[in-house]
Amino acid sequence: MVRASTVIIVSVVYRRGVRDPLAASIRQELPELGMRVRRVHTAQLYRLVGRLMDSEVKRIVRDLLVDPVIQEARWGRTGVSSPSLNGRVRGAVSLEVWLKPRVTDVVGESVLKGISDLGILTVETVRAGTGYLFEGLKGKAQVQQIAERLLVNPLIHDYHLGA
Amino acid sequence: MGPIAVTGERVRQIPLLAAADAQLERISREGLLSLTLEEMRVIQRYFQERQRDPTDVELETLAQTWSEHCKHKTFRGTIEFVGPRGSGTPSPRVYRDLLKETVMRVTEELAVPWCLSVFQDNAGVIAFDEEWALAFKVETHNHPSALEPYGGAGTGVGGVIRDVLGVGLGAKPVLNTDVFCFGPVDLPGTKLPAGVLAPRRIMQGVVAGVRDYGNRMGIPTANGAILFDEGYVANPLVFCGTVGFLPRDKVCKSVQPGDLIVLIGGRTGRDGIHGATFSSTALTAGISSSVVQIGHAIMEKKILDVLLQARDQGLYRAVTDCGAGGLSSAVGELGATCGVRADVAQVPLKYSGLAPWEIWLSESQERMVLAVPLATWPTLQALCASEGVEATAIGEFTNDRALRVMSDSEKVAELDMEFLHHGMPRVTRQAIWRDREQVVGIQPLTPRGAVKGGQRLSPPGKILKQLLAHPNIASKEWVIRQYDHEVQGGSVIKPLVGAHADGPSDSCVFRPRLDSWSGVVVANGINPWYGMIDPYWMAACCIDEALRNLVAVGGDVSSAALLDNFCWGNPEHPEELGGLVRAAQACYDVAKGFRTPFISGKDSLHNTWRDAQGQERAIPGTLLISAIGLIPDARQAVTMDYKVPGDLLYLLGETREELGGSHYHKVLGRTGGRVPRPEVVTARRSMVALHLAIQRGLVRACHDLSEGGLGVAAAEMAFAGEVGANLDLAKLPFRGLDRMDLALLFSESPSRWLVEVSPHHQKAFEQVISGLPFGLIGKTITAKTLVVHGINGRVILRESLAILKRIWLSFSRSFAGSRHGTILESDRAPKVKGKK
Amino acid sequence: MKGSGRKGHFATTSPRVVVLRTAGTNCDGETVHALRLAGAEVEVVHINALLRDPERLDRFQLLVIPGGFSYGDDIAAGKILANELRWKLREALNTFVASGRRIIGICNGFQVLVKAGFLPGFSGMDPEPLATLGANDSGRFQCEWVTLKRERSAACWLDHLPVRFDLPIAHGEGKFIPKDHASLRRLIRNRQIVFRYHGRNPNGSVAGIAAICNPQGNVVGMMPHPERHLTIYQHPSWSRRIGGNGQGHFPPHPSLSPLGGERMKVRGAWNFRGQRGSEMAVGCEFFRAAVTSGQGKAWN
Repeated sequence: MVRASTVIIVSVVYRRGVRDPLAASIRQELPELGMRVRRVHTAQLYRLVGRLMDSEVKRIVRDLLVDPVIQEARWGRTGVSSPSLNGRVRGAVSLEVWLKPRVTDVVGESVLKGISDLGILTVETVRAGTGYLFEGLKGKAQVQQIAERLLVNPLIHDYHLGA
Repeated sequence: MGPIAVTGERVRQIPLLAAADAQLERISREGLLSLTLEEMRVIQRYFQERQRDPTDVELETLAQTWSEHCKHKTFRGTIEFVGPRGSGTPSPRVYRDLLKETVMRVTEELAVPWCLSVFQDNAGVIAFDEEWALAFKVETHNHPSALEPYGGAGTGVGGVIRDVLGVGLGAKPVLNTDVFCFGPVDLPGTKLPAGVLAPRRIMQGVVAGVRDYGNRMGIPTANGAILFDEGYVANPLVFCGTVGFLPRDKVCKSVQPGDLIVLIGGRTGRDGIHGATFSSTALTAGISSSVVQIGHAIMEKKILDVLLQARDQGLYRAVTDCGAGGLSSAVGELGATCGVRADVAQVPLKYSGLAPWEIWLSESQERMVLAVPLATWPTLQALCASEGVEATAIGEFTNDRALRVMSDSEKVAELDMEFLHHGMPRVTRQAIWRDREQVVGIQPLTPRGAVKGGQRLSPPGKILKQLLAHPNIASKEWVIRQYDHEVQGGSVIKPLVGAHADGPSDSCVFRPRLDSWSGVVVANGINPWYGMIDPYWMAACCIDEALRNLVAVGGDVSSAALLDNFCWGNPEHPEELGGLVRAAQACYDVAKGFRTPFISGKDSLHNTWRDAQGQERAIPGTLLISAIGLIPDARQAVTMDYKVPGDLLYLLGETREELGGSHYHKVLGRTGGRVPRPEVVTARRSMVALHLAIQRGLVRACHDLSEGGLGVAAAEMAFAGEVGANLDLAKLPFRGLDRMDLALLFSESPSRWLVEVSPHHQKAFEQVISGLPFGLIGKTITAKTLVVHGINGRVILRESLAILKRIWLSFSRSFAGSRHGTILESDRAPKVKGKK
Repeated sequence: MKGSGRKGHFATTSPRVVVLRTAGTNCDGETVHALRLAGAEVEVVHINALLRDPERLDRFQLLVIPGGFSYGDDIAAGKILANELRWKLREALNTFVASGRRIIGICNGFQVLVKAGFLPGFSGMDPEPLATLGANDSGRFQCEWVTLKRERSAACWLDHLPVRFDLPIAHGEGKFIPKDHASLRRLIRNRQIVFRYHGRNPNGSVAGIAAICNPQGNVVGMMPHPERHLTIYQHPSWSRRIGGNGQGHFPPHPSLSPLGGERMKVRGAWNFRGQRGSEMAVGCEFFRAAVTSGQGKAWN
């Protein structure tokens, strides 16, 4: 049976209680923008395109993308509900930042090699991105500002906000 | 030359033959070629002689090769200059090749035997010992860093590293040095031009971009500087330098007809198209994202790994990096004297759909071009394959002096090498210099230090604290420690020294060979504020500063070589160009006086942008002088921290009232004053004497005086060593009319060092420096205090070292803890409607 | 020789050491230098070559995985190389370790060994990771010197090192984090902690752990770089202790720990031209110990 190529998004976050230095540094920078936030979470995002069975995705996540001592992951095929950080907190605003398609994505290339090292050869492309979740801000407009001033350069990044 | 077959839309013919002037200009403008009308006419004539229109490949190749960035049209063109020479009277002078008649002329006239390759290859090369050589190159990557700081700065580092990989038959990078000029990080949002990233954000990105690339390449970053000034807000300067190490018998390249053109490294995409022409024009909004690239350091490291092996196995005859202009420049240069035939269809691509001109002009990073004899090609292929580096033969070198580019079997470009490299019409520019010192005026200090007009002055201690807190003087520790400065194991004098390894070293010393004590010293000199008064004296002081930093740690001025990096505004403005000429003149006068040859350099012109009113604005003309020299035995190197209480403190060098462009004036909000002027003959003699003293073990600590003068230098030595000092200004050798405490303490006269000497060595030391201007100005003391006596004997300054150090560290500490290790963003620029 | 299970006595006078490298390895040069100074015969082998011929590992008595940014530290530092070792060289490496031969991982090498499961190595190659090296608390790459304290550990071949000494660190992901309290207790009980940070913990490592070994003591991973302190002239405050041309000593600053190795005896012919024995520093002692088998005998 020839399976069609699907898009799989994997979101890797730090476990509760583990320090997230990226989130900590963003929190420190926000007062300068005149904003206050209750919490910031960050995630490493991976977008895999290929023909993969669930078991293969699980293997990639478990053996390559996640450090089980300090991280955990969610994943899903697009079309199904996004596996990003949303599941964690209600009322939080999420931000996903990806490199534009033609910009070199060295992490994505490394992940592709790592996947083939596991013996899985049916992945076509991998792109890596960063996810942020902001708790306690006054809505999407503020996240838009944070994105533009701190986290995103429209010359090389695409980004989307989510509720 | 036969006709060019043009099939389909992949290759376009540009209708040049019958074009009128207006149309020629439009073609250049719309194609982002940055070719002047005269250049377009010359090209038109060339093709008229051949009775055909050029293809897009041909026109783009000419545009890139003839760009300011690649050809240095200003520096090598004709300049009609009106202005004084040094401090002389104004007189007109025509330079037919400014670079050759100033910078290069020093080297030619000095003719030192240890300059092995200068101004001809990708970097300058000097001898290290009988077997080995050092290569050094510094260049800038300003415009891309303004647009995308992380990617732009990273590719800047990647680019200069590739220059060193491509010098001779390839050098191993052994040191990185980085100098950054940013806008003030606390700039209020209202002062930020539209569409410009906040200085803090630019700084964060640049520091991180250079760090990540340099650290991944395993090259220690052990030297550098960071300056802040409002003039750099819209156009930061990012100078990246790399020192390479190579065997002396691998300094020369050669290309034989029949050799294969081999491309190794990354694949080719649309990145960076028009990079060379882009850096030759003003920054404007709405720039295509293709001009910004993201670097792939690991790819470059893989290239480095295979290249050095291939070099040592003799698998290729020549190498060069693929930089500005992409393959068109790299292949065009390697084959300049023989001829090339390349096929763009062989080039491995990142994605499909690229037109031949895009492949030929792409500036995709991490690619090198080699000339490989047929016989060794299989071995090279196998070596590259074994380490996962792509290597592709894309053509061969010929002997017909022509550049031919194919796309499969279709010929898409055919140019004479002679025309490509020497057909560019010479540019003539006007330059004028008017003495600004006379225009601005000097505000002399009256007795007791009050300015005429009765303005009250702060006490010296308060001024010292303001100086130490100033971002240009304060510690940059949070940046320095993000860069691995120990990798390769050769570090001897690190960027931070002293009791707690947090004092500012003047230069770095390292050993390129771990089985030898021979050392290399790298230092730099930069000071745009002197240039705002007079670029001649700025250049003079920068050379002095780089050399005195080099000597302060034990380097030998008689084995020192220099690099020049000019970053200037629009050379088509006569006043701007006048300043540039002045600086170049000083490069000749002063380097000749110091007997230090220039071995390489770069210029980045058109560092301009359009402000809200559409006016073109420029950065302050900035010259970076980098110096590299030898220290015969690195174990003799000296650091700047005071070592032992009870030692003698000497000030070597004369102090004059030279506060023009000083940081003393900056913190007090003053302008005017006499700009510092080095007296080269005495300065050189001092350097030679100091080197001798250090070699004889007579020096316990040594620090040069620069921004903030004696006050800052003495404080730095004290809190770095956690040993106090007691100074007496009355003992300073001083020349001038009004001898005043503040001038003595904060003047920035060049060619001065504060030296700590054990009482046991007093006689020996004074013997070595006899005949030079010096004064025994104090002692180190056990109390952890800096005490300064004024000329009338009273204490004018008494400060605790702990407090001075805390103030000096506070700027750095305010950055610790955020994302890239840099300060909180304070971008409050109102966004222009309609722009993202 | 595979599976012989003998604890190292080898016939040659020069122990044979393999230094592994891959894309992004960059401390191999000075590591090779350090090993040669210590008297070893060193070969640098690319991972691809080893993957093509895993039996090649058999020829060596010591495997060193040096520092660097293997594969750019992408995903996590050392992860991709760790997976190559874990999934493609498992058998050869397990045999190597089981036979008592040594593996040393420095900085990135330590990260690789932990992510591959060779450290803590409670059960040979741990089936799931029981520790990791995470991002420094500062969130930044840190290049600085630290003081270390040598613990009494199962790696008894390091017992000759001074109890306290200085080394440089240069990493962004050096925070040692065991999976849980049970793992940490096990490390302590098994005497698997080799070095701890002393006085100041630069990255937040749990229990200040800077280096660990496996229960047998023949696999050691450490974040600090011993190959960067072979001579006293690499120490950041050497110029505060030594006079201009090597003669005359200043009184050492009271806040500095004594330099391990200043008064060290030199064993064997491991000087280079012009270097006096008293100029050797603790890094030399480390590598000498690494290439020497138990009881000071040479490998044979």
